[in-house]
Amino acid sequence: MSERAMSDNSTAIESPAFFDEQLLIQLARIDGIDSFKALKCMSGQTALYLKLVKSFSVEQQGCDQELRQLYFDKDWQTLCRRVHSIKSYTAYVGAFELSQSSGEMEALLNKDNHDETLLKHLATELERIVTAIAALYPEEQAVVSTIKFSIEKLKTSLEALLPLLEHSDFSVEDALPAVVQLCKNTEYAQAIALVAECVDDVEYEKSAELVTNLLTKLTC
Amino acid sequence: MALSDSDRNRPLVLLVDDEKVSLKILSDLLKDEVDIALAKNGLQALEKVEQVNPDLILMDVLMPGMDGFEVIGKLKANPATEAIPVIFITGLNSAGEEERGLTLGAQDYIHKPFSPEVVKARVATQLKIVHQRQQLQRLSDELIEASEAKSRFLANMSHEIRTPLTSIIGYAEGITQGDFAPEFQSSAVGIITQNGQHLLNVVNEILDLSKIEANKLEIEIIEMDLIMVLTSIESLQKQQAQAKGLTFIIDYQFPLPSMIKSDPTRIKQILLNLINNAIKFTEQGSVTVRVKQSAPDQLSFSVEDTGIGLSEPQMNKLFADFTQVDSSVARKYGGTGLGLSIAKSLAHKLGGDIAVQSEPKKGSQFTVVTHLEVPDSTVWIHDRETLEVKRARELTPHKEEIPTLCGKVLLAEDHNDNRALFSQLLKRMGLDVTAVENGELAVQQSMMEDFDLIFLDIQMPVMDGITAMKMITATAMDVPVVALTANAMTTEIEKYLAEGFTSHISKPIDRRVFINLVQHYFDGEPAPQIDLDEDEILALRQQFVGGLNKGLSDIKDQAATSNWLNLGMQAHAIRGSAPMYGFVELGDVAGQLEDAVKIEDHNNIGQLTQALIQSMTDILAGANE
Repeated sequence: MSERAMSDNSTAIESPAFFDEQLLIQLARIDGIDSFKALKCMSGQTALYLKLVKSFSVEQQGCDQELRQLYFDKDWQTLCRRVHSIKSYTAYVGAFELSQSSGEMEALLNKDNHDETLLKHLATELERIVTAIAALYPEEQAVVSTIKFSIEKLKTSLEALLPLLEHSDFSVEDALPAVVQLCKNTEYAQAIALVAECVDDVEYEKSAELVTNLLTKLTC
Repeated sequence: MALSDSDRNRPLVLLVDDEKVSLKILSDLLKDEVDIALAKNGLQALEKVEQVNPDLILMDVLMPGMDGFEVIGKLKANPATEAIPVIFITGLNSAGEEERGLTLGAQDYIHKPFSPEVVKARVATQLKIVHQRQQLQRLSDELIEASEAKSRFLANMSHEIRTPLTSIIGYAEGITQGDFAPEFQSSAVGIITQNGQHLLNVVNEILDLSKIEANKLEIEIIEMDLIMVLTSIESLQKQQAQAKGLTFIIDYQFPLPSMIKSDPTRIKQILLNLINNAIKFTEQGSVTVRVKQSAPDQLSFSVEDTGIGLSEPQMNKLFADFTQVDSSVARKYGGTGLGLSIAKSLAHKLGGDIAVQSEPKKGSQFTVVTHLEVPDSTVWIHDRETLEVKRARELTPHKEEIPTLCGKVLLAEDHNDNRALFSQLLKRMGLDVTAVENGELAVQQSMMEDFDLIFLDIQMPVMDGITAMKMITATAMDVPVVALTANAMTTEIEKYLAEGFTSHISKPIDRRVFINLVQHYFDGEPAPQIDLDEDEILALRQQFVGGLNKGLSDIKDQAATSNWLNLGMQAHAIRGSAPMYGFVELGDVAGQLEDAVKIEDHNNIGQLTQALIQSMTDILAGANE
């Protein structure tokens, strides 16, 4: 759907779909990114795609420096694994040329060919694309809770988290920061920090167990 | 704790990748169809496999520390995890690496960046295979279990058949070899009869099971006398329970219909099985049969005992074919392990079911519910008194009378012992018997002589019974020909009658049925019983109770003076008359005392005399209340 078509419909303009469409267009304008092709590869799952792009821009910040440092340190094994990872990630976000370059770099590294020119090109391109994507997302303010802590509120939050944890649902990562904030400076801060740590380690079963125990404790 | 496959509603897929982005994409793609578990390195993957027992693993190859190849190597080396299918998801484009993965046991490869459709399709395919494999495994487990159960059953059967045969053969040889003194021969024959009867029960259970399996179990719904069926069960089981020191009670919860429409043979079979089990598994206390109308169209029989009881797992496999709660039960208590399974099938056929409640060491309660249909002819019984009057009215003396008849009978039976047995019985009725061993000889005999009645076995060498019957009837002789056969299926009996047999009797023969049948062909119908009305019965009952005072005094005197002859005669008189007025227990005790006096069993005479005195005193006390 074109920008014009979207702007003709006032109701659609206000919808989340409209903003997603705008973001896809803006992504497509970044040199080296084909957001529509990437979305097609992902069977049109826009929300998932945009979430990945955002994660990419956050997680890969400073990656260019990391690649240069690994090369400088001659840590070829780690460098190869990082390049391998970049190859897949860039393909998901639609940076297909960068993905291809990563593939070539990975192949050379596997043959003990340490081509510095190609690596520098890769790092530069990666930095450019990550910066361009990051510019599309407004800088997020740290979650500051205005909600006052209470046992009931903590129980409600934990009860909402539990099914997500039990189903290893990554959306728990979106919900958890608010709970961390709620418990800040309370006796539960440490327990919730442990839950967050387990979630980061994808230890969802363990997190679910911690939350269940905490709920039992709160109920008693 | 790891969930087993059958505990889960949805398949569980473990996603393993060091890149969180891949985990997120895969999780998002699959979470609507499957449950997800996650791991971001090889070590964590192995821990999660043990923890959640996944149905499928989707795993990256290149991971820090332990790579995908090493993980799959460990999974395939472990018997507990080797069957879990693994799909590699990889960014590697090397054919050699792919070959390595497949050689190590991976089911499939998916390349990054992957297409969601490809991932979903391949996961669906693998899960379908997993599901089919699980079904096959379950089927295989069931078959193994069934095969083991049948093997156990055959071993049990061998034991169950050999045990009574040992007694039968041993005692029979003992009699023929003169091992027993004349006064013990009668009890030796009794043991043979008892073991033969047990063997017949075993064979009947096996036949019933085969009929159930072939869906050919037959039910004959007729008008039946509920009270008399229960009375008959009481007379059969009470002595057995008392011999073990158990109290046996039939608790009639009124109102109850005197007549119902059901299958008396099958109801009796179910209850005898449950009561036998109750007695078998109870060492002290009681066995109670409680009968009541549990709903307008339901009759319930509850058999309660104070025996060893059952645990929950034991109850779960209680009604399965060939199954006893465990092998130690079979060794200690015997039995085919078929009885309850048959009883449950019979209860279903009668429009009901059997349920069990039990607790180890506290006893069991088996409740049989059957469909209740009450015929117009029924009389509703509201109290114990009316019940006793009815029982007294229906009870006939136990002593069997053999009629004296006159006439000629031809018997063809190839089994020597059976031929001798039937001949003997017919001769005792005063009949002139010609016994032959096959159909051809029967035809020859029938041409040489005129007979009043002919019995033909069906399966005989030289000429079978059906052919012989056709040749005999073809000569236009007007003689009734009765089929003698061990085949008791209704369809077979109907076939024999359609072929031209006048009647049919099953082997092993019920002595009473056989006598009645023979009498029918010589005398017409057996003599009808004299019918007394209830008032007359009640008056006679009161008269009997009134006479007990005198009897009680006599017995005490006879016991005090060791007048065994008169004591035995007194016991004999009570034995014959008490059951007619509903005092079955009194009759039983008197019978036992009479027997003890006859064989001069002085160890038991005193105890049985006291039991008889107590029983008479109880009845007199009840009459005075």
